[in-house]
Amino acid sequence: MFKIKNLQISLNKKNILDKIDLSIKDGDTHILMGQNGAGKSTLAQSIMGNPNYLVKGEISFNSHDLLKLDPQQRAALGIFLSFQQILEIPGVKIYDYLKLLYKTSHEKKFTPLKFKEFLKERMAILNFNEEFLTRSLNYGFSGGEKKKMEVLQMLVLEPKLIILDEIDSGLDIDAIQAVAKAVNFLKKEKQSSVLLITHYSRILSFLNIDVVHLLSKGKIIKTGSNDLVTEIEEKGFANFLKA
Amino acid sequence: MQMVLLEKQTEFTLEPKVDTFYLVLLDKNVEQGNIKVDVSFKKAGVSCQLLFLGRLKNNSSWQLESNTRHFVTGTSCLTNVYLSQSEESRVDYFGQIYIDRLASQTKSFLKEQSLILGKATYNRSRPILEIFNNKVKASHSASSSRLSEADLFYLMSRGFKKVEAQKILEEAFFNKVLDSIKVELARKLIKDYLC
Amino acid sequence: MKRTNLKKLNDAYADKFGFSMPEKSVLSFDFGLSQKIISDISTSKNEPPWMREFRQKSLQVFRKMKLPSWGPSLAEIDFEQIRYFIKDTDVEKKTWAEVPKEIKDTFDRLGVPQAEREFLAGVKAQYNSEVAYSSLQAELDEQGVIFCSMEEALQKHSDLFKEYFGKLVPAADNKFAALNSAAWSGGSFVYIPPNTHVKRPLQSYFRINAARMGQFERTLIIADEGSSANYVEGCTAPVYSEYSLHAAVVEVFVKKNARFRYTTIQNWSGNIYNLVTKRAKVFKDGVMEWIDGNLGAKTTMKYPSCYLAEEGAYGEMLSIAYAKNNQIQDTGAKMLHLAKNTSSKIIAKSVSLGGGQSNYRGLVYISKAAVDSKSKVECDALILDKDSATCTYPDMKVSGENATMEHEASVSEIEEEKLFYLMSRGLTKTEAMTLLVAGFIEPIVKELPLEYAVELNRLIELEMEGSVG
Repeated sequence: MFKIKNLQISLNKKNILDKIDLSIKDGDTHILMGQNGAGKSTLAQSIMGNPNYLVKGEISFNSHDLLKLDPQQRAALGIFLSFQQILEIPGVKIYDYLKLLYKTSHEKKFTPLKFKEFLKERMAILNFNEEFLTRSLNYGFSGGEKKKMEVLQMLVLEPKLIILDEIDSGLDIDAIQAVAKAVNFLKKEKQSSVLLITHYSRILSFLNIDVVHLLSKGKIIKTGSNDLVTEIEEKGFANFLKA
Repeated sequence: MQMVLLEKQTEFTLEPKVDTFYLVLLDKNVEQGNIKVDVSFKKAGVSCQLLFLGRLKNNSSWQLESNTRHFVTGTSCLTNVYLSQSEESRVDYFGQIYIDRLASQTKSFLKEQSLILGKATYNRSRPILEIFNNKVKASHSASSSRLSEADLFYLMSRGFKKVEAQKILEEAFFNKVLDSIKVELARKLIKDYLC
Repeated sequence: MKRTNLKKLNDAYADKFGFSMPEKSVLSFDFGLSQKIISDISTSKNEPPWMREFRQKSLQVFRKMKLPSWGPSLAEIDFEQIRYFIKDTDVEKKTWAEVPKEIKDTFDRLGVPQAEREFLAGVKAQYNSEVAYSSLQAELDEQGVIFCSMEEALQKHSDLFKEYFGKLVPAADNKFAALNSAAWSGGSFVYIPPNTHVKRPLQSYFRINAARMGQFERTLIIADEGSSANYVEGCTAPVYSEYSLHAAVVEVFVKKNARFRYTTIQNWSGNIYNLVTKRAKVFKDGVMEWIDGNLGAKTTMKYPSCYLAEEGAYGEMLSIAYAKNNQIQDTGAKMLHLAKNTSSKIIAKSVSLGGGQSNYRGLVYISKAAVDSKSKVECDALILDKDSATCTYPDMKVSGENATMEHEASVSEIEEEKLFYLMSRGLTKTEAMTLLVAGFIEPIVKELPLEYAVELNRLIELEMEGSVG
C-alpha cells in the first residue's frame, strides 16, 4: 500500500505542491494528469527522494516512512521512478550497469548465463537490439531511446511500485505499445502498483486503469475513474480549472 | 554590470565589490607592451568578466598576465583573451585561476584564442588552474589557429583581393567575441578599436 | 609535508599487496652512494670499461645537480639512507621450475596465475633490482625480437646497446636521471627488427622489497623501421614505514614507420617516491603511444615525452592519475614538435579524494621547423571532496607556421543529479560514485590490456570504499 497524506513540497522557499492526499492499493494503476508546470514531476521526484525539495507531510510504502529514507533505501523497498529528464552518463557500459542493478535488486551471486537469459527476455519486450548493451548509458541516445532505456532498467529491477514520469512523450506508437507491454509484464509477474504521469492519453488505451487524478497548480482538483480521461480529452484541462 | 576600461597603466590590482566588466584593449601602435591584471574576489556573490582584446601589429611583442583569485563563496569570473597576430609578432600569456579551500560555489572560466595571420609569429600560453575546493566549476581553453584556407578561397572567388579577404575573416573572428558581450559601452569601445 | 600514517592504509589493500618477503639477499651492499659502491655494482655485473666510466661520470653529475625548483617537495629524500643494490639470485633463471619458492610466492600474490603464461609472449620479472626470472617464447626468438635484461643486452648485444644507451636521456637531464645513470640495475632491453610485428604484449613486473631500497631500473627500447609492438609494465610494492625511492629511466626509439605503445600501471604503496624520466624519439611517420595509470606512491613525478624529430611523426599520451590520502600525483607529458607535419595528442584524467592532490604539468612545443603541425590537449579533473585539490600547469609554445594548437582543461565534482539518478536505482552512494569515477576514466581504461583494465577497476573500487562519506 502506497500512501501520501497532507503532502507539501517546496523548492527554494517557493511552494509547489500543497495538501496532496493519494493512496494506491497494491496492484492498482493510477494516472496523474495535469498541464505543464502543475507539479507532476516535482511529486514524482520527491517520492524518490530528490534532495533539492523540502517535503512536509507523510509518504509511506508498506508501512515504511519514506521521508526517513535516502533514495537508495527507497529503491531497496521496491520503488522505481523513470525520470523525465534523463541524464547521460558516458563511460558506463550498459551491460555492466544492468548487471549491477540486477545484483542490488536480486541475489548477489548468479551465473552470467542466468543473467543473460533474464536480460534477453526483457530486451525482447522492448524490441531492444543486443548491440545496445555495449554502448554508454544514455550517451548519444535519442529522446525515445532514453525513455526505453529507463523502462529496461525497470524490467531488470522488477519494482513493486512503478512511477513513470511522462514516459510516453516523444515516443512513436510502436514504442508506446512496447512500454505498455513492459508495464503489463510486471503487473502480471509482480503485481506491481503503477503511478503513471502523463498529459497525453495514447498509452492509456493499452493499460487497465483504476483511478485518475487531475493535478492543477500544486493541488489535486479531481479524482475519478477512467471516464475522467475521456472527459479531459473532450473538454480540455481548462474546463476543470474553472471549477 | 558596470564597465571599467583598464588603461594608462601596466599593472592593475582589483578587488571588485559589484559585478564588473573589465576591458583591456591592447595599444595597436606600440612595439612592446606588457599588462598584468590581478582580480581578487573577496566579497561573496560578485560576478565579473575580464576581456583582453588586441590586434598585434607586425613585429610587436606583448606580455600579458591575468590572475583571477577566488577567496569567498559564490563568485564567478569569465576571462577572455582574444588576439590576432600579424607577421613577426610575439605573445606570452600567463593566466591563473586560483580557487581557495573556502571558496565554494565558484565558477571561473578562462578562454584564450589567438588568430595567427603571419608566418613567423610566436605564441606562448600558460593558463594555469589551482583548485582547492570541490564545489566549483572551472575550466580553461587555449587555442591558436590560422585563417581557414577554405574561407579565404571562398571570398577570393567572390572577387575580394587576398588582403581584403583576410581583413573580413579577421573581423569575423572578433565579431564572435562581440556577440557575447552584453555591456553596450564595452561593445562600442571594441568596435571603435577594431576600425 | 606531513608524514603518512601508513596504518591508515586500507586493510584489504595492505593485506593483498602490502606484504614483504623476509630478506634473503645473497649479496647485499651498505646504505648510501659512493664511487666505491658504483664501482662494485659495475664489477658485479662484469661491465665493460665504458659503462663503468659512464656510471662514475654520472655520479659526479648527480652530486653537482640540484633538486628541481618546481613541483612537489622532495626534501625528505635522504640519498644516504638508501641501499642501492641487492641481488637475490646469482644466475638468471631460465625455467620456471628453478625459480626460488619465495619468488614464485610473490608472483602468486601479485596475481600472475600459471595459466596466464600461454597468453604472455615472454615475462621478465625483477626481484630487488635483478631479473630473477625470464622466459622467451619460441615466437619471439623466431622473429628475431630481443627481449632480455639490460645486463644481458650489455653483454650479448653490446654494439646495439652502446649505439642507443643514454642518447635520449643523458645523465645531466635531471638529478634523478643522473642518479639512475650512476646506479642503474635491471630493466628491460627490447629490440624489434625491421618490419616485425609483435602481436602479444611484452610484459614485465618488478618490486621494491628491502626498506630504503632504491629502484633504478633502466629500460631501452628500439623499434626498428616498420615494426610494431606493445610493452606493458605493471607493479606493486609492499608497505613500509621508511621512505623508498624509485627513479627509473626509459628510452624508446621509434624508427621510420614504426609503431610502439608503452603501457604502465603504477600502484606503489604510499611510501614510495616515484620519479621517472620517460622519453621517446619518433622518426619519420613513426607513432609512439604512452599509456600511464598512476594510482599509488607517496609522490609521483612523471612526464612521458615524445621528441617528434622527423616529418609525419605522431605522439600520444593517455593518462589516469588517482590521488588519495595525501598522495601527490604530479604527472603530465611533453610533446616537442621538431619537424614538419607532426602531431600530438594528450588526454589526462585525474581523480582526487581524501586529501589527495593531482597535478597536470605539460609542455607542448611547436618549433619554427614544425610547419603544419597539430597538437591537442585535454585535461579533466574530478575532485571528490573538500580536502582534495587539483592543479593544471600547461605550457604551450608555438612558433611553427600553420600550426594548430588546442588545449582544454576542466575541473568538476560529481554532479548531485547523477548521484540521485543512480541511487534511485538502488545503488549505494559509494557504488554510485565508483561507477561515475569508472565512467570518467573509461576512455583511457579501454586502451589497457584486459587484465590491467580489470585490475585497475578493482583497485579503484577497493580504494573508494570507506573513503566516500
